Amino acid sequence: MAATVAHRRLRYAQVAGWIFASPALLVQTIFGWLPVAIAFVVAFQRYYLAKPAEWVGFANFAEVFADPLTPISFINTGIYAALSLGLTFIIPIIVAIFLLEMRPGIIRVMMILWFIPVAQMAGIVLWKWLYNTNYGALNAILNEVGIPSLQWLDSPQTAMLCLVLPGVIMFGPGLVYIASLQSIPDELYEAAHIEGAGIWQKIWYVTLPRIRPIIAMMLIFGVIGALQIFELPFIMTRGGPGTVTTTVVMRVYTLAFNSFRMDKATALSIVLFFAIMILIIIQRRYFKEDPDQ
Amino acid sequence: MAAESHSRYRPEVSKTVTSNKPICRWRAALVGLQILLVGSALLPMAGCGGSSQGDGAAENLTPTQFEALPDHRKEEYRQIELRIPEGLAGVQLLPVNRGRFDSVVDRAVHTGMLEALMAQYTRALFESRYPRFKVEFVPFEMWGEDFKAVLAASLASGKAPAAYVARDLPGTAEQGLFADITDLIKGWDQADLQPATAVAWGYIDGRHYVIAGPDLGSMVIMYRKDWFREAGIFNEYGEPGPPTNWTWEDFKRISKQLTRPEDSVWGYADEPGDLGWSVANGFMYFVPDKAGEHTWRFNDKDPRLLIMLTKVRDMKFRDKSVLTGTGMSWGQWHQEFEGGRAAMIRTFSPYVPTQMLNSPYQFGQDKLYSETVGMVLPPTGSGGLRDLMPDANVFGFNPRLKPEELLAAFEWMKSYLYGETYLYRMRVSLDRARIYGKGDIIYRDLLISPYRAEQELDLPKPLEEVFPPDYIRTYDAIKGAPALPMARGFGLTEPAGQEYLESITAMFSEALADENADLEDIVARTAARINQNVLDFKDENDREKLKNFYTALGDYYRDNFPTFYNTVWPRLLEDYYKVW
Repeated sequence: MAATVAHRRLRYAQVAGWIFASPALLVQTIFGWLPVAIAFVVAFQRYYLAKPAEWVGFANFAEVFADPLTPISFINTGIYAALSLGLTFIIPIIVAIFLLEMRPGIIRVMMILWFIPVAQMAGIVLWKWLYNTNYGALNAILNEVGIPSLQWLDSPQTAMLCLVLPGVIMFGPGLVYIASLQSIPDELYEAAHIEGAGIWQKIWYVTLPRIRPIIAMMLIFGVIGALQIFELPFIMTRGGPGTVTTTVVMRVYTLAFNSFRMDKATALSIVLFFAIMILIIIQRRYFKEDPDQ
Repeated sequence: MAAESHSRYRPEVSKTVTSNKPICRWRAALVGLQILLVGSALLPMAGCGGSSQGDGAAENLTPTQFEALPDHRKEEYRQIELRIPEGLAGVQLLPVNRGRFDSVVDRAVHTGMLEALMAQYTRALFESRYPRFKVEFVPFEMWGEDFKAVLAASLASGKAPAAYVARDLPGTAEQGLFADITDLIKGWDQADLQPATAVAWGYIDGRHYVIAGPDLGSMVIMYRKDWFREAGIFNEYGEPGPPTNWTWEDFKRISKQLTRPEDSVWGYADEPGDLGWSVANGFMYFVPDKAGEHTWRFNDKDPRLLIMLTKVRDMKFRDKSVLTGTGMSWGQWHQEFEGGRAAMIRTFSPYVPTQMLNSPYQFGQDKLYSETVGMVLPPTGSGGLRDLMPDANVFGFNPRLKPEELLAAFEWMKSYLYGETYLYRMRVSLDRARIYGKGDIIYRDLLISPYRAEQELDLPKPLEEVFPPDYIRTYDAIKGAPALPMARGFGLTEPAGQEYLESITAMFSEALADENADLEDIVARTAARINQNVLDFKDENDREKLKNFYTALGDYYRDNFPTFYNTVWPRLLEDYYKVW
C-alpha cells in the first residue's frame, strides 16, 4: 500500500512537473528548437519564400565553400574575435583584480559605472559619428593638437580595430569578475601572506585559480559572442571598406535578407555553428575550470 | 518529521492519494484539455468551411441589384475583404480617435480633413462598383529596409495586403512574392505608358508580375544654384547651373571648382561608386563569356575599368572634391546636401519637386527652394551617352489572392494610379490649393505621372509657373527618353540583385579607401566574387539570344546616340560583345 502511495506521489509529481514546465517547453520548442531543426532542413533545399522548396542535397554547402567571401568572412570574424577577446576579455580581468586592491568606495563607484545601462545600438551609432573622417569628434581632437586626421572606419587598416574599441568601454564584463573576486575567502590571501607570497604570487596562485570557473564561462560567452558579431559592422561599416569588416553573421544576413538566399545563408550559419561547437569542445577539453586542480 | 513537513506543503496530495479518484480526475482533465484543443482547432475550420460554402453559393449581384438590398443583407453579401495598404489608399485616412467631436467623421469634417473624407468616398465608390468587396485600409510598412521580411511574414500568416510595392526585382518575383498579372495587363489600356525600365525587372519568362506606380523619374543631379552663381557657372540659358549637355569631365572640373575645404563644403557627395561614369561611357560590368562556359563574365579585361577607378579615386584623393566613404547611405548624402556640405548630389528626380513644394524655405527664409536648388540630367560621356533611364516604383499583388480578388485589387490599383482615386486626390489637392492659396503637391503629381489622367482639372496656374525651367526641362527629357533594351527582354538572365550590387559597391569602397590601393588586385578579387556568386550560370541557346540583344542595343545607339554608335560601339562590339 505504501509503495503504491509512493508510486502515485511520484507519478503525480512527474505529471505536475510536465504540466508546469510545458508552457516554457512549448515556447522553447516553437521559437528555439524548431527553427534550428528547420534550418537543418532548409540548408538542403532551394528555398523560396512563397513557393514550394526543392531538395538540392549539399548544393548549398558547395556554394558556401566555393564563395570567395566565405574564407574572407571567417578570417575577418577570427580577427575580430582575437582583438575583441584580447581587449574586452583580458583587460577587464586585470582591471578587476587591481580594482579590488583599492578602497571600497572606489570599487563601488566603478561597479556602478560598469552597471550603468548603456543603450547598445545608440552607442554604436554614436561611435560611428565619432569616427567620421570628415567631421567626427576624434579627428577634431587630433587636429586640435596638430595631428592630421585619421581615416578610422574608412581605412582597411584601422576599420576592424575601430569596431572592437567601443566594446572595451561598453560591454566590459568587469562587474562579473569583481563579484567573483569578492567571493574569494580572505583566509586564502592571509595564508599566502604568511607563506611569504607577494602580490603577483597571490594573483597567480590564489586569485586566478579561484575565478577560473568564471573565466571559463566568460570565455565561452566571449567566443560565442565574438564569432556571432553582427550589429557593430552592420551599423558602422556595412562590411566595408571593401569586405574587410564583413563577418560571417553579416554575410548570413546579407545572403538571407538582401539576396533572398535563405538556403545558402542557412548553410553558412550551420558551418558557423559547427565551427563554434568545435572551438567550445576544444575549450572545454583543455581549459581546466576546477579551481582546486 | 519529514513526512509532516511534506504533508504540510502538499496537503491535498496526502488526502487524495488514498483513492483512485484524483488519478481519474487527472485523466479526465487531460482528456478534456485534448478535446478542448482539438475542438478549438476544428471549430474555426468548420467555420471557414461554412463560410466558403456560403461564398460559393452566393450569386453575383450587379451594383443595381445590390443597391436594392436592405442594409443587413448588404452587410451579409459584402464578404470578401480587400486589404489595401494605407499608402495605396491614395489619400489620408480618417483620424484614429474622435477627439472632442461626436465621431471621427465629424472630426474630419469640422477640422477640414478633406483628404480623409475623400478616402472614404473613393472607398465607397469602389465598393459600390464591386458589391462583394469590402475595402480595408491596413497599416503595412512597405517602404522600410526590412520590407522583404515584413512581406514574407505577412504572406505566411495570411495577413498580407492585396497589393504592395515590389522591390529588389527580379529576386523577389522569382521567390514567388507576386501574383502573375499577365492576363490583367493585356486588358489594360494604359499598360504601354508604363516606364519600360521600371517594369522590365518584373517581367519574367514572358509573364508580368508588376505594374508601374504614378511617380516617373530618373537619376538626376541636384545642385545648389546659389553656389553655382557665386562660382560664375551658368548654363546655356543663363541660369546658374551646369550646361544641360555637360560632360563627365565638366562634372569633375565643376565639382572641384565648387569645393571649399575651409567651409567643409564638397563639390559632390555620394556612396562609393562610379559616379555615373560607366553608363555615360557605355561601360558594362558584365560581358558575354568568350570561352562559352557561361553566359556572362565580369568585364575585368576592358582597360576602361581601371581608368574609371582611377578617375573616381583622383576625385576623392587628388581633387578632394567628393565626399564619400564607408557606410555612406542614400539618406546620408541627402543630409550632406541639405546640411550645406555638398554642392551636388545624385537623387531620384521626384524628390526635388517634392521638396520644393513641401519645404519651400528649407534653406532659409531668404532662399526659396526653387531658386536655391536646381535639377539637371547626369553628365554625358562618350558620344553623348548618359545615365537616363526613366523609372518608377512598381507594385505587385498578393500571390494568394483568388482570381476575383486579384481582379478587384488590380482595379483598385488602376484607380489609384490614374482612375477615381487619383482624380479625386487631385481635385482635393486642387481645392486646397485654391483655399489656402499656396503651392500644393498636386503639381508634383501632375509633373511626374506617366499616365494620362483625365485632364479636366482647372489648375489655378500652369506647371510652368510653379516649377523653375530646369525642373520642367529635366522632366520633358525624362518623359521623352527612349527605352534602353535590356538583356532580360531577350530571354537572357540579366545579372542583378543585391549580391551583384554589393560586390560592385565593395570594389569602389575599397578603391576609394586607400590612395595607394592596388586597383588591379581589387578588380581581380571582385571578378572572382561576381563570377562565382552572380555569373555562375549559362542560359540555354545564349549565343543566339546575345546576338539578338546586342543587335537591338546597337540599333538603340544608332538611333539615339549616333556619335557613340559610329565611334565607340564597333570596337566594343568586336572586342567584348560579339560571340556569335
